[in-house]
Amino acid sequence: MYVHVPFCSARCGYCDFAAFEGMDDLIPDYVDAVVEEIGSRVPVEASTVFVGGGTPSVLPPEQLARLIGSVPRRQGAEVTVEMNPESATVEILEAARAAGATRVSMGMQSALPHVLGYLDRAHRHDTLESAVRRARRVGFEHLNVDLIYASPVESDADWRRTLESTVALGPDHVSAYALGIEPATPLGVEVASGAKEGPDDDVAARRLEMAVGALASAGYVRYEISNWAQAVPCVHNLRYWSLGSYVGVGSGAHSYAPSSGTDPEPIDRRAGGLRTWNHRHPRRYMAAMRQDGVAVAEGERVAGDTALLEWLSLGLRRSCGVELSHEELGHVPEVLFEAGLVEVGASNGRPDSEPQEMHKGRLALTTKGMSLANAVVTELSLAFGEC
Amino acid sequence: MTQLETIRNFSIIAHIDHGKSTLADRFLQMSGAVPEREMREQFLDSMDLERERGITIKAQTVRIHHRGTDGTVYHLNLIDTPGHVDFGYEVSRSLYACEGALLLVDAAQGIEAQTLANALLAVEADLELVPVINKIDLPSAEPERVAEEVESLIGLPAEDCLMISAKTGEGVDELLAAIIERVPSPKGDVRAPLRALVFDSHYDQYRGVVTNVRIMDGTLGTGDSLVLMASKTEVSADEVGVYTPLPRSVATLGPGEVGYLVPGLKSVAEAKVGDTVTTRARGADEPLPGYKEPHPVVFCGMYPAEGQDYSELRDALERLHVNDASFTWEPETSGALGFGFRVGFLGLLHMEIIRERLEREYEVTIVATAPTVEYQVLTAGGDQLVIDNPSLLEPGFEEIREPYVEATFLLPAEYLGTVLELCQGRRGVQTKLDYVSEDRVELDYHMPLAEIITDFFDVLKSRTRGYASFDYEPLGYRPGDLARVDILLNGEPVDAFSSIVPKDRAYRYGRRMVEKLRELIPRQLFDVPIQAAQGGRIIARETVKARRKDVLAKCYGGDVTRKRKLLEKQKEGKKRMRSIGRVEVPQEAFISALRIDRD
Ligand SMILES: Nc1nc2c(ncn2[C@@H]2O[C@H](COP(=O)(O)OP(=O)(O)OP(=O)(O)O)[C@@H](O)[C@H]2O)c(=O)[nH]1
Ligand SMILES: C[S@@+](CC[C@H](N)C(=O)[O-])C[C@H]1O[C@@H](n2cnc3c(N)ncnc32)[C@H](O)[C@@H]1O
Ligand SMILES: [Mg+2]
Repeated sequence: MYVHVPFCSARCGYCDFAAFEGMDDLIPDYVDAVVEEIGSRVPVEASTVFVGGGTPSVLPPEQLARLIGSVPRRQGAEVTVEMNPESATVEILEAARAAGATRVSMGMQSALPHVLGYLDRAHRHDTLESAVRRARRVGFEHLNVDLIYASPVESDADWRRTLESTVALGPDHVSAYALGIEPATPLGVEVASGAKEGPDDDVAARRLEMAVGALASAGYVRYEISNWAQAVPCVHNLRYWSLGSYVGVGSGAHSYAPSSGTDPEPIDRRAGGLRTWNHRHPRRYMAAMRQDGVAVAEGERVAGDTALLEWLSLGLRRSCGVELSHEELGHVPEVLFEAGLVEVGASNGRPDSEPQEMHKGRLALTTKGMSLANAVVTELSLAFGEC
Repeated sequence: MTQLETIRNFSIIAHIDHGKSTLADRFLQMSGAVPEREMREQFLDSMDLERERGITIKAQTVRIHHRGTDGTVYHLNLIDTPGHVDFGYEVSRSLYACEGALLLVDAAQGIEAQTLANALLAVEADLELVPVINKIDLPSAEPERVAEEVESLIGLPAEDCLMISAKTGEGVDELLAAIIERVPSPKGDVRAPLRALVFDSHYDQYRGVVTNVRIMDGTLGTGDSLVLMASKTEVSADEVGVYTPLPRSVATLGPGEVGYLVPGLKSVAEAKVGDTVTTRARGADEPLPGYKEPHPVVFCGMYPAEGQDYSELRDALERLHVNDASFTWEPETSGALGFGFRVGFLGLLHMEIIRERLEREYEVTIVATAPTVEYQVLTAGGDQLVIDNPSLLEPGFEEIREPYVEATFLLPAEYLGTVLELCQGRRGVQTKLDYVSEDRVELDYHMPLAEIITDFFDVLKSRTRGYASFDYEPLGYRPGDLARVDILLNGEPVDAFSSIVPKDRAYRYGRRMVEKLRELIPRQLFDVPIQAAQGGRIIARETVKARRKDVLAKCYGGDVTRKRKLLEKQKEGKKRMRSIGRVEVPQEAFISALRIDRD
């Protein structure tokens, strides 16, 4: 289950998520509405919970505890809460922990003040360091930090320092994203009008290579395009990439119910499923819950080539790739191998067995392919769509 | 059937934009042919393309009624013609259906290059020319000065000019009276065997081929059994009628009348403009003289954007050809673009118009290659070849000859320097420089046609702020010091990008081409070298660097839909690319790469 908290103390210029500032007076009623939605939507116990935002750490501790506590979940479930360094107080960390949170994800973004400034972040690196210390003191072993690279004010040396600081902090999980320019954000508008410089793709590619090198030598395993873990991945996110079912509650949250069985991935790649999403604005969301007891705004049934495209684009994000039949492997365009973007491994994970002898195998992106995932997915879905 | 004495057939001819279609509006309005509430500007420009561009492309025929001062009702048949140089063939065909022509001249602009060219066509067709000075309502109008020009440049007495404003309607009554008085009524023998000239035709979705005809002798009645004399095809008159401007069927058309005939043709190829229609029984012995076949001077390759539409493109060309017989087409094959056609046109605008009409009226999407002229090549083995596709020019030839034209310019003296410089840069040789008045100059140049089929018009227009007008006539072939420049993508020559250029410009041309292509070709999964080569030697090189990053950020909170839509868009974009070897080239590269500014 994904639980969305749409409140922020200040919105970052790059952010295109359902996040709003200056609406804190809505919090109590909003939490009521979400608790009600949780009660109405979960027939089974959740195996993972992700409380994301927005900024869940801006909630009063007891409200956050109420949210977490109201999700019925299995024994040993992974429960992640997203926090901003400046609002990750002992009180909120303890409240989350007591309510059952097992993992904290911190928005670090960068270790350098000028980069944090460009990104409109309210914290400094020492704020983050002490927040991480507090989280550990409260008892969180599983800790993630989010990084953003390739903002135009960042140099290669800056990024190297951010990576070094990250490794020094030693979280057991790291997510690193290239700065994305979304058209409907303040930053997007400034870049489009030429008022601000945007990131450069070649620079971003180089920074990603730096991250791949630095994190690998520090013992992190890259298990997805933007995610690294020392030992334990984020099981919740893996669910998205495997097209498993999930229920999203709160404003703007998305839900997915696959049409075919999953084992653990879709058995029929074209069967697809039903995707729905809630009203994005918290007021709209709350009104819908109040009036109808349902907050779904819209949905779409995904099937056929569209389902195939989703399966490829999500599945290939993982280092383990996707499983293909022998025949499907034959349809993989030769150019992808020649350009060194994909590789084939044995279905059981033994990379040494010969692909020709296998009935099925796993197709995975190489490090280079991970930087060009869209191009690979487009090629593949065209090739598979025709056969 | 209408009494010969009450018929007047005339065309309205002029330089582009001098107000032909607007004058036709006034005629339609004053005769009540079009109800006031249905009236709109340039009513006869009915094609979307004509309305968007504000120009006439197709000649249009209308019959109106006008009560003369003597009380007689006259049947006026007017043909509104296009003014652009590329459509001269359209004008000349119309003239053969008429006894007179109104020569319109803009009172502010004066006589321009196509005024002269069209006046000449009318004189050659033996028509009565009625000079009309239009736009006298403009503050900058100088009708007297322009009337002097008419006298000095065309040789018609200044006092014969009528002064009108097609916009306000001023002087149009007097013009109608002058038409009745000066344009001779048609001659023709009603008892002689039928001879009707097919001067235009088009394809109608419901009725098939519709031909526009001018009856010279005899009568044409609905239901008659007919023969098309040149194509030796037997047809029957399914419908006979006149344009009012909407088509209205009539029982019979008699001598001197202009109207339409639906011949119920099975194959569109049988409808030939210039053919003579006669009756099967008691038919005419001799066909009418017909038309000179137009001679295309500009060629390009046209390929369906998606390979499987080849036959659709062929059908579209076939049908459009009914409406415009002045372009030619034949199948050709390109290594890069597959199966398509080599299409010949009367000029660059003509090419653009045909391409757009194919896409709009027949819903085919076309990839067109750069325009080229037709070269004559003498091979080392002594063979004479005609080459209209640059990639077919084999090196090691003995001689290559290219078409030249005689270009005529009329321009205000202040732009003389600019135009001289432009023509010099385009390998022009001056043959005449005349002050036709104190501040207007007529210039003649001999120039390779290849120089004017790229951006010449646009450059001329922008450098003279539209004040210089220009017309050209073919002049025959002359030897040139020319070479083929090839473009290689990823080491492979791409035939659709080959071009024939003057040797001393080969290097600069190659450089510009590779630079332009580097901008147009998106980054791919590997480095793509782009090279220009002349005679096996690489003369320029650029590289499209391999793409290094193309990946979406995470799907936060499970919002997969938005990211997927981006991928779907990317997939669509990829489908619109042409794969040449392993390189994906956007369709627009084929044409825009060749629109390179040479100055
Ligand atoms: N002021 C003024 N403008 C006029 C007059 N006649 C035409 N125009 C304008 O001149 C422009 C060109 O008129 P058209 O009637 O389209 O000219 P045309 O000769 O049919 O042009 P082509 O068919 O493209 O050769 C339009 O903007 C008309 O409104 C006139 O008597 N006075
Ligand atoms: C939904 S955000 C909210 C988390 C929390 N409020 C914070 O700021 O840390 C989760 C993460 O997505 C990443 N992110 C958001 N917008 C991004 C963008 N436009 N480009 C790159 N990464 C982005 C950031 O790393 C951010 O920490
Ligand atoms: Mg017109």
